[in-house]
Amino acid sequence: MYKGVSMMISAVLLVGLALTLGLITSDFVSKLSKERTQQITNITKEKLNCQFANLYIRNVSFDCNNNCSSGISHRLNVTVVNSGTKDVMIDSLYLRNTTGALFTFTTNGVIQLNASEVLTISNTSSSSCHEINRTIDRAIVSSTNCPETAFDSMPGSDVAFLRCG
Amino acid sequence: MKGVSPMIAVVLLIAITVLLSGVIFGWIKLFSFTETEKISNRTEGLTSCSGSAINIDDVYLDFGANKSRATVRNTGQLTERITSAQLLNTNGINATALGNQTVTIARGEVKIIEFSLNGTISNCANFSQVKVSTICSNGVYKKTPTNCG
Repeated sequence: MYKGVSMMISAVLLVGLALTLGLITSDFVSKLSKERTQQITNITKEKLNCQFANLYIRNVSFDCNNNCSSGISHRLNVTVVNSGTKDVMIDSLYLRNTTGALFTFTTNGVIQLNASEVLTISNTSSSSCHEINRTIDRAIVSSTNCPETAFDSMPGSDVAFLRCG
Repeated sequence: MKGVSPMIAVVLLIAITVLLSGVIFGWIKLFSFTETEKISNRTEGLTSCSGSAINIDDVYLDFGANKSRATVRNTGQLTERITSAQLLNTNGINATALGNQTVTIARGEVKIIEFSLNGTISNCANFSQVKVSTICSNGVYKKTPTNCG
């Protein structure tokens, strides 16, 4: 018979090795699954909350200030109604003309529109308005926290042009 | 029979064992680190993608400027990066995308992707579809372009 490590020691070594490996693996799997579960929970929670988010554009006006040239102040006013039960965030207003060109009007910081609140968001720009003046196809508002449900667009025919000639 | 003395043999054996175990330990450490990193990245990608969505709201054909403009909106819960954009005509030929296609688009943000119509679409009937892809999702517009009535 060959000499070697005793049966007892080899069994203890094997069990110890198996236990250590098992502990390392289970620790990794447990940490990973906890992290991922938290991620999925957060995304699902946000999606579910957003089921109750909604908004619509009540009216839009664009003031050309009698001159569409660059350097002259032009004012966009958009009245938005939060028709949902969740607060929504807005950071931009968009106008798209009849050729599909998009004009982005970034608000002064993120605006919070509380549930049931009606708010007129204004943006003053000194960029040229030649491509917008009476050629708006759509005015668009999209929330940043619930963009799938809290989103609306209004036809250009409903936009009021003030001092636009 | 003569050979290496038992003392030297033991020292040599111990040295070889220590050396080998060091090498194996280093390899296992490196291997497990890269594999756990891989698994972490993959699972993170899969879970993150569950909140990803992109939509092409409208497509315009501007024959005056020889351009097509697609309005893309991020309707998901994550900031997206557009990795490819294609406009196809009815013969399956790609129109060239203008400017930088790898556009970053934040949650709720609306952006325009422009294509050149040169040699691909001469009238509304030639339009087939627009496809936009991000790492996690994609949007397809197969309707009549908005300004084609």
